[in-house]
Amino acid sequence: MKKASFKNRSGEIFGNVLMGLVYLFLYAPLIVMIVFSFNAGKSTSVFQGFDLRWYRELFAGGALLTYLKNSLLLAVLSSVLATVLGTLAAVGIYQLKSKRISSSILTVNNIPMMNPDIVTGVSMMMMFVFVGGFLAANRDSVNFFTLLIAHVTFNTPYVLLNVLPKLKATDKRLVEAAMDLGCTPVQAFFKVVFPQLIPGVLSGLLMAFTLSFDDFVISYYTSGADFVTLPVYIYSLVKKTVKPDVYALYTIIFVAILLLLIVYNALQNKGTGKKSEKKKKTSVIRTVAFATAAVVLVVGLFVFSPKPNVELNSLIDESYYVNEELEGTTLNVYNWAEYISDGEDDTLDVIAAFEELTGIKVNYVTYESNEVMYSKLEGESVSYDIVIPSDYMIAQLISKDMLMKLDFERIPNYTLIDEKYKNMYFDPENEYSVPFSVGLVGLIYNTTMVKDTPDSWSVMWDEQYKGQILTFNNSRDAFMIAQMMAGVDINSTSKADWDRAAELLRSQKKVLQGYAMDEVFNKMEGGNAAIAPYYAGDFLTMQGENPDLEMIYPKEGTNIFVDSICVPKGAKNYDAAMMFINFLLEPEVALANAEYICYATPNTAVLENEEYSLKDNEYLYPENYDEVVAKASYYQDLPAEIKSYYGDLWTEIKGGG
Amino acid sequence: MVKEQNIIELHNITVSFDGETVLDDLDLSIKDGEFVTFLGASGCGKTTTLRVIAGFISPDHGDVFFDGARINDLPPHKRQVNTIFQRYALFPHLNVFDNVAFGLKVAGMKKDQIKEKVEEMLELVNMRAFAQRKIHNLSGGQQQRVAIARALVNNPRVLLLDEPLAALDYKLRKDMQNELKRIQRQTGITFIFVTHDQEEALSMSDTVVVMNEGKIQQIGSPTKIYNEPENAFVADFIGESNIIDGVMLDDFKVRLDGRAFKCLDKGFAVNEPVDVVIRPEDVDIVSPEKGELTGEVSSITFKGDYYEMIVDVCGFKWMVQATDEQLVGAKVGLVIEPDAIHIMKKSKYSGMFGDYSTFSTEMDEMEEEARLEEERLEEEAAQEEKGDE
Repeated sequence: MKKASFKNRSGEIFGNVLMGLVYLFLYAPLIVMIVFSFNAGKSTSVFQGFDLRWYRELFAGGALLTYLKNSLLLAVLSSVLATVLGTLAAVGIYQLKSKRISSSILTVNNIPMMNPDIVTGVSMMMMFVFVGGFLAANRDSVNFFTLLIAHVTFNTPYVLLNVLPKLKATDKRLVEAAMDLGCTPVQAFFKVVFPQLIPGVLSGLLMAFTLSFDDFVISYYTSGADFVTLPVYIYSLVKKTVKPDVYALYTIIFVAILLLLIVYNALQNKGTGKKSEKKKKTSVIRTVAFATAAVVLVVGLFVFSPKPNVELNSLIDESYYVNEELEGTTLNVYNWAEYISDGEDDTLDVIAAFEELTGIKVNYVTYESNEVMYSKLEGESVSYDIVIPSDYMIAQLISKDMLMKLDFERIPNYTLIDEKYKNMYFDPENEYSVPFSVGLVGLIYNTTMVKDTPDSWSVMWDEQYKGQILTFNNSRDAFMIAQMMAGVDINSTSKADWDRAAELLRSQKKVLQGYAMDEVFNKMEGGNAAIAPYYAGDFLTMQGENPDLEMIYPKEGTNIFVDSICVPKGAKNYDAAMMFINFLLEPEVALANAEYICYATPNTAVLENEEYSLKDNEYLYPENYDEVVAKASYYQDLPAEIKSYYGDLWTEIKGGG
Repeated sequence: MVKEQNIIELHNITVSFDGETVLDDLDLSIKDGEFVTFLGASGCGKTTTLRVIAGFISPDHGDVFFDGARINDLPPHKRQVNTIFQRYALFPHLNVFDNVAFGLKVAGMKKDQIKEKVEEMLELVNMRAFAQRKIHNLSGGQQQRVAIARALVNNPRVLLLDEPLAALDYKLRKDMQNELKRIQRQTGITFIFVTHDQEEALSMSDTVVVMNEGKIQQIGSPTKIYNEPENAFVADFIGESNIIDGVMLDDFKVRLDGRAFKCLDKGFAVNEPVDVVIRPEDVDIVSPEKGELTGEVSSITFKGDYYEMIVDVCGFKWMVQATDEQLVGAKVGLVIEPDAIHIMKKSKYSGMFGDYSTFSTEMDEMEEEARLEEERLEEEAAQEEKGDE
């Protein structure tokens, strides 16, 4: 007996430990996120003390709350609509005489749920574009309504599946009993059947709400410039690091959902009865308390509407922005995430200021890579009036005839652009683009971990830093470093040149800690890696968190890039686009953007401004700047054959043992 | 209580599901204030008849009259009938009070009036103390009472009861039988009661309608049904019967087992073959030499107040109930008085019933179980079918 019980006990302990581990792994990421949402610093790896800073920033400024509101609005509308539709559909299917028809309808119902989201999203986008072509040629074929339709569409099957079993479990005689007691069939449904369905309807509603709220893939393809949801926005943030205010937002969302679940469970428990009256009362009180807390939280989010800073002190020519014809029109801007001053920390809110000044409504949408932007433009489901692609992408867009020529007569502030950035290789005649921001790739290192001051990329192959070196997790940038090392052209069309670089990358692999993009911030700020290449502007952010970090431009040369403002073919508000470009070049606006983005600016009015905090910054504008730029190379659009060749090499390098 | 005019008349009602005839050209009239029972095995069409009256099934042919008016096209919620369903079909989301008040609320009655009527009705079924209870916290008998109250509170002209006692245990069933009978007398409402339990039918009803295979086999008072069954089916279904092939020799004279017996029946052709019904309790056991028939006891079972034995008379096994014990294998004589003999015309059921040659108590019990199981399955199938309609 004793032995047996001992065995049981140890088994029980093992089971509990196992369960504990499972929960730990489930919740550890959430806990990390919640903890870092209270971090005093910006780092996502070093906890610098408890502070509500990110919550304040979240409520004080910026786009996040707008996108949260969008997401909530969409989730509420789509889940309510889907619940109505799904419940009606369940009743309809239930009433069908033929089993064969009802089961085939159910199969049809299940397909969208099993279908990968990406297929649903893309096919819906194609349908909206196709149908939109007939209905409204001068409007974007994807917009808020298409997004709503898409969400209702993918939510409805889930509601149906939640309601139908409840319907089947309902005693059919209840309907007869109700009719027997004087109900019409419709009355019988609402008075007797529907109350039995409520748990199913509620769980369907809740499921639809959460599915809609955190859907990314389908929203990504079916939303237009006028309405961007939170997940779509956050995804576009990946080029730069995700800021802790996003953690703060998600902590709030997590807590809200937790409360919602508790309320839901409390409601369900109430239904099961068999509790003493007293217990029932306390559970009701608890339910009401939680519901109130949740409501207060949500209302709080909406009440704390940010008041953007739109005050402009100086404009070169104020009368230029007066154009009654354009007032009330819409301008669709498609830009990199976190690539415009957004009013945070009482900086200038560029978009709001432009809207205030001109009366033009701006739809501001962001992307995370040149390629994503390109595919969106190619998809033609949305038309944009402004895009800000990088150099090689501009070359590609011009070659595909996807850009409009700019009317420089109407961009007087173009004279402020530094001559260095005119007549660039991708736009030699200055017809299509206006430079917005300039960047260089630098070599970042931790002075406490790297002994001497490096001056060459070769330190990334140094055996003594084995396991402490990061490189780009993106083929073009990783190859660039190897090509610079090997002394070959980074835009070479010779396969042999790429083979040489690939050989170097293979030999580098044994000293690498890993390939990283966004993680570079955490690793370098936290001292978890000694050496990493990254963009100079982002280095300033890292150094702010960890003063031990330094950066150099290696002697072999590096990559330089220019992101320039363009107008894609198919733009519907060309006049407003010209005005917007000119506005971005206004000294005060350009200054705000340069301060916010932290990349080098091509705007001479900013470069000469004494108030520019990064003026003469030793990293952005080093003394030997012209020399560095002279040695640096721009990426160029490569032939498809070469692209796929080095793509294969890269896959093999990363994958191969 | 029972009035002269018919409250419900069914004319030539035919109903079929999926090509299978369930009711076959049925004619029936029910008098106002009557307690009528539809009696039959499962599948005989008794519940279907009830549902035709309630309006849940519209017949393929035939007419339904209520108070002289044709109501074929009247939907259930407009008919002045209420139903007590087999498993009560109480509304689980409402408490006892609200279940009973349901019909009145739908009818738009004033609140204080509803309260008064509901309480009165709960009083009638002894459930007043349970008004605020949830349905799932009630016992079967209590649910039954709520179902009765829910139906009766609407003052229906006719109350339909679909095997309402089937789910109750024996003792409770007895109590509810009395209770229903009392309520029926008290309210004067026409009750149409469906059951497969012949004892229940005989003890409660003014009129019993015996049904089989979608047809009415016999309509009559319980005593008439028992004493003068119309055919072998009825004779066998109601109580125990020995059904023997006989030949009518003349009025008041029948030959069976090679012997002429006096009887009280007449009006048959001379030498007409007939079915002769003799109830087991009407056979007297005497010594072999005094008997009109002689036989050998092949089994005997003690039943409490009597013995039930099987007596083999020239190969035909008679069931006999007597107060004296006999030994198995004993020779006995049987005496049958003229008033114990009931003569029936030959029917399609002749020869199918009434011989106890395969009889045994255990067999009977097994058959009963099998029947209940079958009934349950059929019930489910019927539910399914209805859902698909």
